[in-house]
Amino acid sequence: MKMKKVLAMALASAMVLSLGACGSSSGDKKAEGTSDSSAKTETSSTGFAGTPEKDSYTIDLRAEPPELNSLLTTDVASGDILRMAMVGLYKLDKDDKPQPDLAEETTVSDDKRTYTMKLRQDAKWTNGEPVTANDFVFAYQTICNKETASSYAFIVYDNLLNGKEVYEGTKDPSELGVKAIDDYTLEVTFTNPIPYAEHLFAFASYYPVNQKAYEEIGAANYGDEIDKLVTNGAYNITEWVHNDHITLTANEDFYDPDRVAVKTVKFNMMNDTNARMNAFQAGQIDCINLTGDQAVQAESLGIHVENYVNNSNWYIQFNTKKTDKGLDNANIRRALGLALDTQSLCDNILKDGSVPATGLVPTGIAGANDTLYRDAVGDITGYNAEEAKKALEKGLQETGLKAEDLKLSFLCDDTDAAQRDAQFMQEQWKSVLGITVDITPQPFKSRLASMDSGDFDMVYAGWTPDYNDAMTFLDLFTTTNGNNYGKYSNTEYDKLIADAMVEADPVARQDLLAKAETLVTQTDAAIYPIYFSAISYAVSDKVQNMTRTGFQEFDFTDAE
Amino acid sequence: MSNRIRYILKRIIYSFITILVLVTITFLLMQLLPGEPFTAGKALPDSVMQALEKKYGLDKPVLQQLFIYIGNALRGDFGISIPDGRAVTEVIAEAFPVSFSLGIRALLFAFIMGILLGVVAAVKRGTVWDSAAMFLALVGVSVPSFIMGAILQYFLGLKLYQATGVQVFAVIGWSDFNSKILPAFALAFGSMATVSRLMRTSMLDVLSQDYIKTAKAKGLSQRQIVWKHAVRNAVMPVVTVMGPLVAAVLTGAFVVENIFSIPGLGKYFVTSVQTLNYTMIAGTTVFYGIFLILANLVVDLIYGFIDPRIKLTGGKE
Repeated sequence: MKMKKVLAMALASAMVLSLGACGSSSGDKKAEGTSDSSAKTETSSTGFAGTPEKDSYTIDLRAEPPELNSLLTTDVASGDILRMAMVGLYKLDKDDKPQPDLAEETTVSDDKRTYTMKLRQDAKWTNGEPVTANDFVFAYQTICNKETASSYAFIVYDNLLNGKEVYEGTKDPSELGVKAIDDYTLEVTFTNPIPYAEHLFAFASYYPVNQKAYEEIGAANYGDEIDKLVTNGAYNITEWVHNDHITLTANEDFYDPDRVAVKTVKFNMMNDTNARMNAFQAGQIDCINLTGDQAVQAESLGIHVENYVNNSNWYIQFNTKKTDKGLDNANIRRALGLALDTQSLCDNILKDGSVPATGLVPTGIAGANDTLYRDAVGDITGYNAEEAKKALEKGLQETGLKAEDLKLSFLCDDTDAAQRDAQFMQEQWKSVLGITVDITPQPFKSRLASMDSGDFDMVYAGWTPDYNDAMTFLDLFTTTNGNNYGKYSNTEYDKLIADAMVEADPVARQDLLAKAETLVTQTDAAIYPIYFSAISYAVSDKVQNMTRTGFQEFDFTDAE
Repeated sequence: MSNRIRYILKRIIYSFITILVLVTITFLLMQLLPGEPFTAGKALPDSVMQALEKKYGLDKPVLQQLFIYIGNALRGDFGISIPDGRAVTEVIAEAFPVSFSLGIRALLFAFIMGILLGVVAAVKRGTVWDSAAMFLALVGVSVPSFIMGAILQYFLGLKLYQATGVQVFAVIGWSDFNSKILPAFALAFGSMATVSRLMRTSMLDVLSQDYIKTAKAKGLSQRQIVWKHAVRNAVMPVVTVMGPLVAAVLTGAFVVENIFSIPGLGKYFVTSVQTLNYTMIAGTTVFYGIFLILANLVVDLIYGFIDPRIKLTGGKE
């Protein structure tokens, strides 16, 4: 067996040497030659000109959208396609700020709960029908119907007046907080004032749906194939080969044809990270996401690499019910968090542009009055080895435990990336605090099941925001929230969140949220934020006017 | 002839029972996997969860679900995939032809190349030809398809393109002719090695038989002896491994499809387990099960045609 391996290695390395030698020098020449044809002007050409087709970009979407029915979809890939193929009341611009789209003129009531919107009259569905206020009423009533079985129904029924009652069937759908005053005037009423309402209006669950098409095709199949879907946006979906690619072509009938970046965008679905890199270098694809190591490699090859903070975070959630391991003690929990050199994790392990977490809410999330929340609130958490040791000592005194009693296990995903992060932290807990921690990697669904049943000490978990507001991160840890797997419970925290939900003044609301954030991450340290994740990507010279932000993984409808 | 029909009928009945057992075990085992299919890291409100369970029929007891499933499956309805809502049969009908096309290419390649290598190695026994062929076979059984795939993609896909400026082999995809060669080769390589080693051993055995000596004594040419008398007899053991090889190629296709971004069935087969897409796990498992059982049946029948001495009624051996 050994001999076979040696022979195999010998052959493999022989191939590497022979082919590698003839590839490198002339390969560079070829790359230089093709760069002349690049149309890109704002950045210097890199020699990676991209795909040969004209007026067309090929982009790696990585995953297949499970479906394109805006009422059912919850995933990022579907969101990317719908963002380009659909228009809603509002649209996010390049900086993730909502701008009016179908809503030409918006009036907000004094209590900030009712939005009256005049709709533009030149928008059309691909079946020729005009886009009217009734399409919104139909969409919101349908998603708030339990039989639709939408996973994101709560994003609508939690916010709209009478939403929960309509969902549970105790009130008639006509009582839902959405009305068509006339064909082109829509009135939406929320239960509470919602500072991020315009952002919701740009979200897929709030898109209109053409009732005629939806009923003709049938709820069960709507959005499964391109001939079972009508859209109203800047691009038409012209081809969908499942698990292979989706092609979008500029919609010539669209009311604002100039906003498209390029005539055709082909989204490929690739799984293998090495294959992505090979395909990019071979000019078969124009934009790919990179792992941290690949980003370093790509830069050394002269590839144009960019990154953006994608508004997701990773944190440690402590199981506060594990009293025998000291995890009911805030000082011990805080010690475990403070001991982690997150800067080193980002620089040496992640290497993809991720930044150390300075709180629970990532840097790109909006704050009051056009500021960013993180800028306004400031840093809350971070690495401090000395403080960590002090906190541990205090915690051990309070609980009467010894450091060696804390035989903790650390639950994480079984992916290479998660295990590498976990090993880094394991080493730090040992060296800074002298605590031995076992890593328990589990497949994603098993990890969720373990969290759900409380079968863990500490878990490495992440969150991607549902909407652009700090609340999407902070309401997770109230006593009754289903995502509060660590069973953290503090009446003061619950009250801060409840008060923030009904507070109409944006600055006062932000103060309440900041207090809650400090409470849960510092004072009580039920959660310890680790890093705000970033996406590194390689892009070929020909791609222009591509938007990639925390709330828009891809968009090609921001051209001016 | 009637014996053969009776044999086939018997095999079909056995196959049917095998598949029923397969469905039952798969169905029960997958329900034992921890977790549920609907969430992806975000807890859903209870009422939303109930609505989803109702939609996919998961609100009923497991045994009842099993009977409903078998009943529907007998009518050709394998349920709808979670969470995309597409019919499982539709997904299989779309993705399997791609996997099949890849698999057939790989199998043909493995058999033709494997038999050729084996024959050459046996006839030129002890020469450099023999050593070269067997070295290739050794590499084939040692290097798994995902490494072979990655090597081929990097050197023949990327580096050859960078060196010549011509896309001789596509790096990814499954469309033009030039995108189908590398994946088929990567998938075939291991099987080719198995076939060539088996063929060599079998050929050496046949070449030492008396009837070969007789043929030589009759003055037949080397070519006639090898191709008319030796190969036909020596190929029997190779045909017997065809069933297992079909299985290896089919189940091994996942990694190759992954590396070359080929929209085949392998991906659904593997990811359905990770995402707890129950209907897709059961659907793909049953489908592969039926396919493999059929492949084995066909191999047994071919066996009878190639070697008339074998009576099917007598069982396999």
